[in-house]
Amino acid sequence: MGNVEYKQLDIKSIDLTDTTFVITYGFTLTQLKKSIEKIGILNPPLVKKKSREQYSIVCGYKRLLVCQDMGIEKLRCAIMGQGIEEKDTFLTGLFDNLSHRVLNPVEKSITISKLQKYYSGEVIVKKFLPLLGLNPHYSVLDRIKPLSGLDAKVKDAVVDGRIDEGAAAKLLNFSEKDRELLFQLLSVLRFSKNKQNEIIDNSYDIAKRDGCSISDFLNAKGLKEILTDSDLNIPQKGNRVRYFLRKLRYPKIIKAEKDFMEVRRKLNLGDTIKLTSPPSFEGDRYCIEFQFENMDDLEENLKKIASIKHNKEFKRIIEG
Amino acid sequence: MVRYIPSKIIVDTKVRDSLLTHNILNNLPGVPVEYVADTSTAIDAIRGRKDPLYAGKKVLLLTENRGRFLKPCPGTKEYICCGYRILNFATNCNLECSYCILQSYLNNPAMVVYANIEDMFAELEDELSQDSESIYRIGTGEFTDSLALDHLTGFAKLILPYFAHKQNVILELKTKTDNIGNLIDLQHNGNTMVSWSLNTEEVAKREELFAPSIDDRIEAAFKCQNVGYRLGFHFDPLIYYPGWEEGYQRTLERLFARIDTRNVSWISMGGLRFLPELKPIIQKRFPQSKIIYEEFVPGMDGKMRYFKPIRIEMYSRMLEWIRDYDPKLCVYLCMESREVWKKVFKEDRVENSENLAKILDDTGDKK
Ligand code: SF4
Repeated sequence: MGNVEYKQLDIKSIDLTDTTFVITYGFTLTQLKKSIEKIGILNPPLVKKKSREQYSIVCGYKRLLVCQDMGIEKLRCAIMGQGIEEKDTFLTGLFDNLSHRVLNPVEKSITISKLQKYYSGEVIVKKFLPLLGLNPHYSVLDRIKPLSGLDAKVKDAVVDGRIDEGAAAKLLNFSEKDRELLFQLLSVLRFSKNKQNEIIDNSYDIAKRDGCSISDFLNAKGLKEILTDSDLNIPQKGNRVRYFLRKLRYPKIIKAEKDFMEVRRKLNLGDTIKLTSPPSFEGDRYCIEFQFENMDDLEENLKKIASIKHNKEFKRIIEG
Repeated sequence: MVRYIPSKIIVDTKVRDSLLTHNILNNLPGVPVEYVADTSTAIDAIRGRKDPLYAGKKVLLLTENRGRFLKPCPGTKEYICCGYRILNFATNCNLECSYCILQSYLNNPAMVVYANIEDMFAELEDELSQDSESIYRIGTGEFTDSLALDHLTGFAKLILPYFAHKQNVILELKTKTDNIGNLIDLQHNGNTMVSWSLNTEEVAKREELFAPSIDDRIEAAFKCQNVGYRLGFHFDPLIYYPGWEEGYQRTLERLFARIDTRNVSWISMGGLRFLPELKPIIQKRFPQSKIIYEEFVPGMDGKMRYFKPIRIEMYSRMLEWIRDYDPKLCVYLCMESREVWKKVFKEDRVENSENLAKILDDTGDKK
């Protein structure tokens, strides 16, 4: 860190809007404030002179915000030597953060964006992603990097785990209006990580395929009815919305599933016999499974199964 | 078609004196050349670029193949495979097809030529003499386009005369190019066939960015027909989009207006399929492409494929149209299940990969 000088600084001389070396995002100051009120600041913030009168913050951004909030006017700070390059100053702040906490996904994204000013993609992937607790792959870089460019409310949702970081990054592929609509949908229906990605992927694919915007089908009557149906709870709404989008995205597959279920229903196999199709109808193996209690039960089930082969509709499904 | 010219050549010092290296350097005067003892640093540098796949295509890397040149086609047991052998003399391709599987398959983004062909010939000599009864159907177009670099490598001039004197080999050069200059005067003795990957003109324009037009490909096939080559055509990938029927019918019409079906050894068909990892790559590199937004399902081999009824519909219609030109033409499906074969051909003619290999061996052998 070179020479560090300790000095009592006027808090106004520290430019808190200059975030060149700051990577902190998504925090509350309540706890820290309580602690500072009680025991004061043990570890002085680290700053660097940017002009005659002004300093930039390197470490201790939150401490300074609290002090400002508490109306503290003067504070003992550590001032970095002038000869230190911007890159090394940034790394000082980064390593300080990494030494005592795990960064959230948005902070990792901010870090990557800032590192890009100083390092090639290859160095970031190989050297810095592992330091951030990420796998050293370009795909990881591509997934994390865009997060810092998201709207504040989406970033906040990522930080408190309401929205998956991968799903959030995908939102940047949409227009601002579509992003807003999707974000609202995901927030209201509280999907799991996989389902969030499914909703975003299907919406994106439909819009690309049909050359339309998300709002064209998210504002459709059928979907609005699901969302406003007061008889449905949130998981039920979520399932219906997923089905609505799947049907738009995969009309042929959904129709085949429906036809199969209809034929199966008409076979009257009862509750004990389970007839299933191959996954996505790709293989050619159908499966029949049943349970029985006694010999009569067994015979009854076998009779029902034997009747399947005379069913023309089922034959059509199997043989095409 | 604009012929491939790299921006830079990297020569692994181990192949500095190879014939192929000499050919390439002679054909590319003025292109900067760098000699390296270890290629990994150069490859890493390309990987670190913003679009490594694009950057890689500008670099021609001449190195050695340390493994085997001849390998079985990486078919999977879940689908019927044609039992091909791949002669791996180069990897990667400059034609920039949006759907190209190599984008998610190759670790090295550079255009690679394995220049230690002296080792390749030694291996071939050894391998082909082991089983003189079997037919070896060999292709060079699995990890590259067979002819895209031929104006630089002159590879065809080396390999065709070699195979011309073998009894038990059918070499298939698979291409989308019209880069056939080296083939015209060569002695091939009927042991080499040239085949083209065809599509609709719309797909060629939208998805096969640097490949010649369909008419130019057919014209190249016509020239090869005139100098006695057997021909093959691969409708692979078949692409399902509004208007596909007219598109493929038009291609067949143009094809058979120039090509005599008696000179065609086989026609294959295969629906678009891709590893799931390829989708985001296509989205990023070819944002205008819509082909990945059709109805795909995970296949039994882990690749995404069109929903089965779509494939059956496309193959059946194509077969019908091809049969209208010549009912006897050998048509086969690439990597499909027995069930799909049965539904398309309306008979249980091909039960497994051995059946298909036998049909193709027999067809290819009728010189
Ligand atoms: S011609 Fe074949 S190898 Fe070349 S880019 Fe197209 S699909 Fe890939």
